[in-house]
Amino acid sequence: MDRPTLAMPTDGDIERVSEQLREAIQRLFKRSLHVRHVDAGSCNACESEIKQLTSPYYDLHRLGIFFSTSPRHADLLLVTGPVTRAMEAPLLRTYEAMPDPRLVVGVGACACDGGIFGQSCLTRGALSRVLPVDVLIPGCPPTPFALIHGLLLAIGRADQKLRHGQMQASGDRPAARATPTPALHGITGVEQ
Amino acid sequence: MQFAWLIRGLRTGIMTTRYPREPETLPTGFRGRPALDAGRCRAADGCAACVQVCLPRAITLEQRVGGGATGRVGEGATEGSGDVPARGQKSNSGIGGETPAIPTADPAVNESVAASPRRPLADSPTRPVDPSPTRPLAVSGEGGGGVRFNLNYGACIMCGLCVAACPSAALSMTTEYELAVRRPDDLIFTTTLTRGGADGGPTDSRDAN
Repeated sequence: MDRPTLAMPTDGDIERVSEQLREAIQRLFKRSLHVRHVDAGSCNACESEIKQLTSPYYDLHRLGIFFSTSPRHADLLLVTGPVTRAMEAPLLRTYEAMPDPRLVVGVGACACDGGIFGQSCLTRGALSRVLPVDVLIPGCPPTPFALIHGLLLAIGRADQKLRHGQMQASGDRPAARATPTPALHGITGVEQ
Repeated sequence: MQFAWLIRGLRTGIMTTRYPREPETLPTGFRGRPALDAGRCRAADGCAACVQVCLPRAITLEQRVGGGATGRVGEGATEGSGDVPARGQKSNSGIGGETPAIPTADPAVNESVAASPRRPLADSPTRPVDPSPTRPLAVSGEGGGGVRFNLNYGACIMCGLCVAACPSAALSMTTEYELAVRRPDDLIFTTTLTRGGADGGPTDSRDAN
């Protein structure tokens, strides 16, 4: 990449570089994953579905994903609820206690957009207003299958199927990934 | 029998799903994401049945005036070029709509036109008052640019009320559940409706059944 391009990269370059960086980060998580779940004001419907993940039918452990009882052992923060005023500070403390690199996944319509609760004087309305969110799993509540898909999407083991509100076939990857940018050559873990 | 549980387990066999490796099809009647058949939708003719019943305000309609610009109901709300309102499409007032809650800083809130006749725009104190009282409050295609239909899957609770309320059967519930996304913008389905159908916008009728 020449100097003018480096000084003022186009949007396509930034997207390609960020895509490669994201893949490199996700490669770190491709083995076992420990999840810390925080209920930030949920109605417990999402908790009911999350609890089913450890049942014999869904059996999340077969995928190498485990629930951790401490944020210090966790790689991924699973947040449900519209982030109430009382749970905002504990949620941030949990996030601070997690070691880097860490992922944040919002579960349910409340974490995505406020859901039924919405934004009020007692709720922040969306998880993205509090923490940087990596993956959002909509649904009220999302089924355990949707949770599995979202968790695997966060660690790069599944393809995103919904783009701009439309479902796309599995394996339909964006065209930007086909032409790697030479800017990241030499960085460990980035394919050339 | 001391090991009855063991024999029972051996008889049952493996019951764990193979989900990520093999696609899991949920039974008919499962309410996944709603899909819009834009060719059938009558929103450009003034219909707003789905907007009225949508409890979390996941479905919104915007009036478009002229060719490309999104119609704005007050001249004061000119800042913010949210052509596609990303977040905060819901009204920041409560369900009744009389008392405003904490005002959001999102300019898209002021731009999106709620089409419910029970909540006329002039009564909402959070929105600028319509300078032209002759403009119809209900969304219609009179402006010439049609009506923009927004469906936010992030806010949708998959209740199916919009499907039941749709008089032209344009909305339908699918059994698709793999809706996780990396960017919140990917959760928003947007199409532009004109009188007699969509004008080349994305039609999400592939899975309508």
